[in-house]
Amino acid sequence: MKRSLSWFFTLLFLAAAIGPHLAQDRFPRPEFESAYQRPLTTTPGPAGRILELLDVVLLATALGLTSFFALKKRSRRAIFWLTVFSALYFGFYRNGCVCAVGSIQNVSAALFYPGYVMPLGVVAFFVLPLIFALFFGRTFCAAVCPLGAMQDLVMLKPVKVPSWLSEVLSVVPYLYLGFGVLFAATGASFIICKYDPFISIYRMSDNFGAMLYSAGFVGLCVFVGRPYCRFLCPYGVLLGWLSTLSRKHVTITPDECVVCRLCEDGCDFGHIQKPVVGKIPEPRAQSTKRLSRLVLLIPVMMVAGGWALSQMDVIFARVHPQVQLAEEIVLEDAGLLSETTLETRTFRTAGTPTQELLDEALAIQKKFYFGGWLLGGFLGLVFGIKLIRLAVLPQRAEYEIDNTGCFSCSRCFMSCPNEHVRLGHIDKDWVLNLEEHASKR
Amino acid sequence: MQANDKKLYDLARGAAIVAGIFSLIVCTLMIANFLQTKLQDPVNSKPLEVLLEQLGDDPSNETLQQQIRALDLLSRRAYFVNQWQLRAGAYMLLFGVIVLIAALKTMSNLQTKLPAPEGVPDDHEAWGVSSKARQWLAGLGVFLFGTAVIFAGFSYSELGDDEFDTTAVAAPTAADFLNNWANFRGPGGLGMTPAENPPRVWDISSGDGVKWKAEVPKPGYGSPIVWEDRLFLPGGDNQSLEVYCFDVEDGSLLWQKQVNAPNDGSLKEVRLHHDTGYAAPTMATNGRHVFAIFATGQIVCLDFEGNQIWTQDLGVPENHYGHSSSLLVYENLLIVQYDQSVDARLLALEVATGSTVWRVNREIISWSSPILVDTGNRQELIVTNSKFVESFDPKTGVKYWEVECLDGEHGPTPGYADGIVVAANEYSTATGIRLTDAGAEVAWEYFEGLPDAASPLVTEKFVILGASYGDVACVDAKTGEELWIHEFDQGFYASPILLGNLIYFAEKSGIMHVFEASSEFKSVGDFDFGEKIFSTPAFANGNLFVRTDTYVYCIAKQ
Amino acid sequence: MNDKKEKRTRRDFLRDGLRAIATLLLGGIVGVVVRKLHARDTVWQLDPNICVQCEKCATECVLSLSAVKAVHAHDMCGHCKLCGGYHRPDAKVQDTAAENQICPTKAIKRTFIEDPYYSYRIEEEKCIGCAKCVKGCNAFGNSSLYLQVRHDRCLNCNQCSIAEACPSGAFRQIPAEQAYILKGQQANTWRSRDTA
Repeated sequence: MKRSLSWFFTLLFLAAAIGPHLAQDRFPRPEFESAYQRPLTTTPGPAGRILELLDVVLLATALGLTSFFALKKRSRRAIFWLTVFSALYFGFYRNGCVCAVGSIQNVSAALFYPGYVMPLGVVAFFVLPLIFALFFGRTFCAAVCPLGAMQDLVMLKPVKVPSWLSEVLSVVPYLYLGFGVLFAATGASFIICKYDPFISIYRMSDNFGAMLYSAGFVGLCVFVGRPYCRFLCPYGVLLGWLSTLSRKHVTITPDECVVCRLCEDGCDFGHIQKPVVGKIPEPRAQSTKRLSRLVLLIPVMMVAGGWALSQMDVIFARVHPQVQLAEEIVLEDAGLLSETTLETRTFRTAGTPTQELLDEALAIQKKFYFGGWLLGGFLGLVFGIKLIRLAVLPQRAEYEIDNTGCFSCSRCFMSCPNEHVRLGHIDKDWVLNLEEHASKR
Repeated sequence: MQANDKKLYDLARGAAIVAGIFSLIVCTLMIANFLQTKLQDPVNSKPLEVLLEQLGDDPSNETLQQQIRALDLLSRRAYFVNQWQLRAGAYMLLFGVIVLIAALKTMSNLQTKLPAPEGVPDDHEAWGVSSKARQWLAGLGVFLFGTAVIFAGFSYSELGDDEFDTTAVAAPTAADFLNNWANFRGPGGLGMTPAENPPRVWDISSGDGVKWKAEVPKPGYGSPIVWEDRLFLPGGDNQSLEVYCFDVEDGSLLWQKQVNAPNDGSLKEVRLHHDTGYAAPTMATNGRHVFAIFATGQIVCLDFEGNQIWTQDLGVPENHYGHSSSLLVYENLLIVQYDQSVDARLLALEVATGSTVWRVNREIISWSSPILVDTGNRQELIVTNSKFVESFDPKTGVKYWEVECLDGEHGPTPGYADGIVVAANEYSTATGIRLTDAGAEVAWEYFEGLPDAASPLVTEKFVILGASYGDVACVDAKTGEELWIHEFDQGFYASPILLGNLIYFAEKSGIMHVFEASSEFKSVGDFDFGEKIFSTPAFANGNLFVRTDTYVYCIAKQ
Repeated sequence: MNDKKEKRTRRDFLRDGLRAIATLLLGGIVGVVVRKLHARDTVWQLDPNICVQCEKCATECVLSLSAVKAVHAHDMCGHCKLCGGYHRPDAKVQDTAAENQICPTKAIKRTFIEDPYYSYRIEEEKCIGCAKCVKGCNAFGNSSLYLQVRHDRCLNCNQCSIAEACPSGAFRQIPAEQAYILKGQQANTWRSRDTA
């Protein structure tokens, strides 16, 4: 029943001799008779960590200089060289990490995720560009952001994206921001970093797929002006809000606009707004009705969005490795998986009770449920406000910069004849003639 | 364009073409290089693996050794050169692209046309754009909402799945465990249960007193376990491993379940002795599910209908006789003593999932089984190996005490009653260990009738030891004083059990001896089953269950 | 014209108000975040007591030659001739021949000290962080070999891609002033979570 009668002393001694010992003390540590000295493990310091403060100083300086060159000097050339500097320093030299765009996630994690510690430098990268935007517009985008710099430098023949399309696409950054915050706040993943199209180029090293993705995106940037900034960048959303409120902002011309139409195509990013003088070509009652309906629809859209995304908690939660692991464990235990994974094997060897993992995973799922409500509500609100904005016709007599979107890149300045007068290239009369010409129309 | 500009333009165009071609070449080379690194990854070099395998078969082949060394050097060199080339290539490509872009930018700057807005301003243009954008935006919103709803509708969380209700499993009470025979040697693994009227007389050849007899399809020395109306047995040979469920009322085979061993292929390679076999360990149940472990190191959890709930593979043990330690259930934990010559361990698995709740690393091989003891103050899980008797907190695996008193290849499971633990082994001693507040201390030692496989039976007054050569010794449980020795013919592998005041002790040859637990040897009867008995009998609801070589018998209550 | 000017000032007033609110909000966020602030920078490091030597450190790093390398706590080493971290488990002879070494890049240098002891040193520029030696040393030796993120190579990405792929959760961010989790005599206050 248990074992054989036959046993041998030899076997016994053998079994005792080869029995395993405590993992770390199998062999005694020798005392050497010779003068041999055991070398110590070297601990090379983090490369360039001393530069952390320098990074913050350079960021502030670059922001200050860009604001100065864009608003005061109105010099595109200076902005260009600052862009080159940012691509070289914040991009290639500092490997693009950490950047203001990614810092949103660190801040979200620090706000919602217990136990997350945050380095000072990251806070500075998050806050400084926003403060500058509040006072001078998005000068960060103009020449400081390494992501913007790359796109700006490779842009050669930008096509004009139809205005209606860019209006529609402008909600994508809100989606990206919302999901970026949701996944960071739940500790699931830093998706903004993961799908950053430029980081592999700045690192000059990554896996093949990531490199291909980056190359493709940069190729796109040659023909579409700053596609990431306009249609993806989540940080741009925050910058846009503050830039709308900015105390000062770049203008096409500091002088009076003569409505000469010369700047109409002066912005490669579609941020110059044409004058609007006409009325809505439909009965007033109709547009008022539409508007009031949309206002009433906002709460409905918020609730619908919240409900829909909260129902997706199971799917979103799977981004979190703990939830993935828990589900695999449950499936394995139910005998539904034919093969175990490295993760489940590791989990089982560690000996953590399954219930602990399941509880943790369920807690994460719950977070996604509440997060889904918040995010869905937020996105409902965004869609509602966008729709309302598109249902009213703002009145504008002049060509104006869209302060929310404008990157302060200073390209449009030179398309205005007034700028040429200011710089002394042409005579004031030339412009006056032009104005006369325009008014005759 | 002025002449100077024209010259600059041509220069830029030339530079752009050169830089473009250069970048393209570098890019192609880098991709080729990358693919090569994939092929020549030194970590998983296939050709090298093949050669090394060949060397394993023919270790002294010098040509092969030379070949391996050459290939190894070559692939390592290629790997690091590739790494260097990739780095250098990246810089070259960057340089090429910068020049290309600078040249193209220069060209486009020189080509700048004066702004000439086309068309006539249209007063309704802005409204047209707004309307179109509004429609598309609304469409996008509806699309996203719809997608979210569809995905949400089809999403299904594996975590909300409650097919295994752990609360239901905890339901059986302590009384249930006393009335049933849930594991090796019954309640706590101690080999005794209070019984008012255990069977005293029966006759196998005439069938008197035998309620039923059933053939077991495959051999196994695992003892029967009984829960209410069901009896479970393991069986197995080098073809398959199986679990059987019999009806306690009529002995019909309700179901048999073949255990799909993950290491099926190795079934034949498991090293074991024919006196141990593939299914030596006794199963255990918690009243809802049954658990079985086999010589392959596979544990399986089945429900009472034979459906597999989970399975765990502990790996084929390094055990020269074959694994024989039985399972034990404590609350929501399945205790597995997995002693072997390497990586021996004591595990507590969650009954619901089979995942490890705690683990104690052990160092010495053994073939004994764990017992669960209630000292009055606490519950202790007592296990033995070929050197130590150790006690653990069954909830956490924290060690309470240990006593070094054993030697040899240890098979008998310890016994316990009234504060005395007895561990014994052939070529060693029988040791009475008294539990104290501080831990435990050796109370007495005894040297006769030492068992090879049969576990000592410990009652409040007596200790019964049965040797594999036939001697049965009875000693005083408190003092270790010898009370009597009786010589039987064949010797014992099965363990004795105490039912009421009667001891049932089956000899290898198949004769069940029944005698009183008293200070003198008083036989009640000897019953021949006709074939050998290696398994310990089970007793539940007045019936006695005996597994012989090929049958299982139910001796009816009287 | 006058009308327009007045409108503008009213709008300006509104914007000033909103700007003040935005400033307060920003200040609030910073205020909350600052409480979680670590005065110094953090770096990624792996806890060798949790590591399961899955080999992913060699392949998941964004650098083509991983920033994770094996290091050796010499004071824990038994200095044996037969070394689980140096020789293949099936090696027939305990010499330095390529067919007997476990390291795929032969990055471990063995030197004779005195009979019967040898020293094993990692040549870091050759190490690719595959942890084969660590696994061997854990299984058969004193576990004196272990993996560490080498900060002279690590780019300290905001989201470490090895950390994301690590099956045992051994990676975490620790203060940069104590950027290593060492073993042996050099072990510092960072302890494995399961020894707590």
